[in-house]
Amino acid sequence: MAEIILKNVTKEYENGFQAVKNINLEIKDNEFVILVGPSGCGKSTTLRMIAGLEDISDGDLYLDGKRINDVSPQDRDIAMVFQNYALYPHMTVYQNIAYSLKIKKVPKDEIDKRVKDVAASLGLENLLDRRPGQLSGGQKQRVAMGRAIIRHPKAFLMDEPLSNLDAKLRGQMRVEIADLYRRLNTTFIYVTHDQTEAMTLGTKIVVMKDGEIMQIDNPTNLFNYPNNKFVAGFIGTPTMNFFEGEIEEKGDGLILKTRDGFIPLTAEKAAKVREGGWVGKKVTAGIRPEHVELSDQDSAAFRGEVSVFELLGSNAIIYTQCQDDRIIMNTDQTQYQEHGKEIFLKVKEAKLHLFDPETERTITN
Amino acid sequence: MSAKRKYKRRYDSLPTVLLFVLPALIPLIVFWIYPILRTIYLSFTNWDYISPTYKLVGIKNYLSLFRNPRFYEALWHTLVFTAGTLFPTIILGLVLALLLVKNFRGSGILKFIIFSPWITPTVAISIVWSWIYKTDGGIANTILTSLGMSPLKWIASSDTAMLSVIIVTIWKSLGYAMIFYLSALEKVPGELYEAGALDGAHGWRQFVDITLPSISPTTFFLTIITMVNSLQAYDQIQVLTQGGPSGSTRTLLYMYYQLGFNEFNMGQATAVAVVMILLTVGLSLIQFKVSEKWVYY
Amino acid sequence: MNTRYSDNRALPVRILSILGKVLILGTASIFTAFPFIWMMVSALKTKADILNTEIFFPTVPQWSNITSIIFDSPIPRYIFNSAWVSAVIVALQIVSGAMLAYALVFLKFRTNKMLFAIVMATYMLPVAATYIPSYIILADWKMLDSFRGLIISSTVSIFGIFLLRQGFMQIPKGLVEAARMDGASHWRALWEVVCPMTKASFITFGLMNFISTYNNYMWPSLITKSSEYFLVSQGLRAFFIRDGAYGTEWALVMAASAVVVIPLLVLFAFTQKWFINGIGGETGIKG
Repeated sequence: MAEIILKNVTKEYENGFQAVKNINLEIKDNEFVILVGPSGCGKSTTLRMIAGLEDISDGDLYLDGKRINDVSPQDRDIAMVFQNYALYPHMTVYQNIAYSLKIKKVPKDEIDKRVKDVAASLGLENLLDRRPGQLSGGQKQRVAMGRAIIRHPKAFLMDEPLSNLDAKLRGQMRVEIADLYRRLNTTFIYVTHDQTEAMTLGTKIVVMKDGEIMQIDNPTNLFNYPNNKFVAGFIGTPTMNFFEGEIEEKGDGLILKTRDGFIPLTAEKAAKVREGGWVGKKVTAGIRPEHVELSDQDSAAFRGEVSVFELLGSNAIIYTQCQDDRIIMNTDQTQYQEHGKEIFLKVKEAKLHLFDPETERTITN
Repeated sequence: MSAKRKYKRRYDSLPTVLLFVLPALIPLIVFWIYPILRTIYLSFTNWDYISPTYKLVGIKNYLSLFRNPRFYEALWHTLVFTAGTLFPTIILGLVLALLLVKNFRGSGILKFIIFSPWITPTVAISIVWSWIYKTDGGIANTILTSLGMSPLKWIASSDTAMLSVIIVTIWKSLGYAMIFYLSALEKVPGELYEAGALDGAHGWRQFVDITLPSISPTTFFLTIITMVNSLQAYDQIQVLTQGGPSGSTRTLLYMYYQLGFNEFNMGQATAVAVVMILLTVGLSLIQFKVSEKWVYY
Repeated sequence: MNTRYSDNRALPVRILSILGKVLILGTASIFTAFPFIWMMVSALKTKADILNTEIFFPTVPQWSNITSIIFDSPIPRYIFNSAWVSAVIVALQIVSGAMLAYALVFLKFRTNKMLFAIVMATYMLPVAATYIPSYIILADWKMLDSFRGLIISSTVSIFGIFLLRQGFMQIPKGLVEAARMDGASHWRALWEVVCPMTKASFITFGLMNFISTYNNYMWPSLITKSSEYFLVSQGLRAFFIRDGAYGTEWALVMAASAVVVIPLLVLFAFTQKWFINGIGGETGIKG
């Protein structure tokens, strides 16, 4: 139960490399915040600074209004679940979970009661005498969480906790973590490189790249209203299609001229484009695969040959090789297309995103 | 934007670091680093330990050392002793490890026997050896005569005393080298041998092309350690020969001991110590330099 | 050799290679074991037996040689001195070494690398070069000829620091971090997490240094002069050369050596695996 604030926080290494650049982030009490981004984006470093495992080169970190830059990790009352679980191999599951309470000199019977409660809630009752070496990946994961839960910490930090599990188990543990969050009602900060994990778990997602925050928002907004090309491309699978085009006047409205055709802009988008002074200029456009459709030749934005048809069950992905671009389309299983066939594609105009080709900022969503 | 604060790097807090470092660092400074520096300083003085005062005499100690034939003798004995213990220890240690690396019935006992001299006090076993080496009635000569060879005077003669001390030293350190090689050989990845076998490497070729390069870091480590130990050998010399007969087993270290703790000529003694330091550092540096050519990490 | 293939050489070659192997190993083990055997048989001989080169085994084993060493000589006292002085020294070395190794591996501070370089350099210097100034320091502190002087001058083991550092580096950093997050101080993390995980290094360190301190001769013999403070090596040598025993009382001298050596061999028999796996395995062969 804590509020965490990062103010202009920077992490610079000895060699001058800045892993985290001047970030600002407010995490409210009981919030589930996810830091997501490709590897090397600074998300783990940020988490480790909050934990106290990395020192903060510049800026301030507040926990419940108190500046804790110089408080050592042992005194922060924050729990962390590590990527490799970091269970003590020489201690039993019981001892692993109880260790933090033992350090705090909690009376033995209370430790016993709390360990048993936590074990029961995680389904670990029968494993308490085992050592970590005798556990499966999923069980280790639970022990690592148990070790964090038992302390009733001010905040939970999780550093890629599911990345060592196989896909099936990962899905299951994701549900358990979400459930845990609801039960514990405390602040969670969760780091992952997997945007699916981020989208399904988080109520507030922080997308990072190269040590900077790209966007902070809820999953729906991130998906529908990305701030920039990076976020648009990072969130969603299959990833958004990007292509070049030029804005032109046509009749009353504007169109985006593509190589093989054009896409009319909605009135709302046209207004934004005019406002930004983009008429007659080149822009980067983006469209999600689920908003691409088959079309006849006249209204097509793209023309190309089918290179791969991937059946994923109820839906299917069609990769089309156009002249310059490769357009991915997410459609349903009935739309089978033969390899090499020439097809025409159009897009749902309302779902078109336009980006500044230089700064990659969003012009309109 | 306001003036940017200079980045300050925070480390673990100073009291914590000091708490962890000082218990070892203080003794290290008091009984290692300071004495080494002090030794170097004393080697430029004429101190005799008894007098409360002494003065700097420049390089006089070194000059008289370099004019002293005893010094060259000791230097030569040191080099002979070092070479004479280093090569047999390493080579025999490797041979034994090669023969014992595959477990068979009794291999554990053999390892135990061959390593056991290393854990026993050098003084105790040197006493036993001096009994073995005894000219009249010593078992070494009994064995020689029964084999039809003429008896030797061993530690009683300046011709054979050095050899006798070298034998004891090899006897003592053989097991140590073997243990290191055993664990190095066990770590050579099996695929290397398999790949080598497919390339047609067998027997001797396999040994030269695969085994030796794979264990070269161990060879390097053992060379340095054995060399440093040999340069500092004292116990067996003290018990067996006390540097004699007629100085034939007096090494630099023994000379240092005699000058410092028998004659209290601290200036000369520390000058010998400095030569020993330089010799150790010099030989180590040569080893490091040469090792770039034959050690594969 | 370490080949994993069935031996497909011709039979005579195989027999020859086995013969060679037996010959080398036989010679080596006889060569190493013989002095011990000779010590033990000599220890049980009478004065007459011992001068007779014709006989190998004692005609009648003189167990009284051994009992007189155990009950009527200062040798047991030296053994006791050696044992407890070594125990204290090793305990101090383990604590100081573990803390420094922990600092080198897990603490962040500016001079970390430099500190390691200094320790590394000291490892190679001849320890004897420090003896004269160290002697003077102990003299100034009035600690010559005392157990205190022996102990205080040996509270740090550079070899041990290396051994532990090597072991500590195998521990994932996350474990120490997890302990810190659990609320453990560095001190607790060292003894409750790091130490149990590197138990093998600690045991090897303890045994190796116990043995070498126990056997140590040159330094103790320089700073202790009264026999009540003798460690075993110095005591044994004093016994060896005492009033002309040298050359006349060989049986007793051998008995004394045997009394000193046999407990160590027994200790070694029980702890062999720590030596054999420990030294070769973790003594920092990495470049």
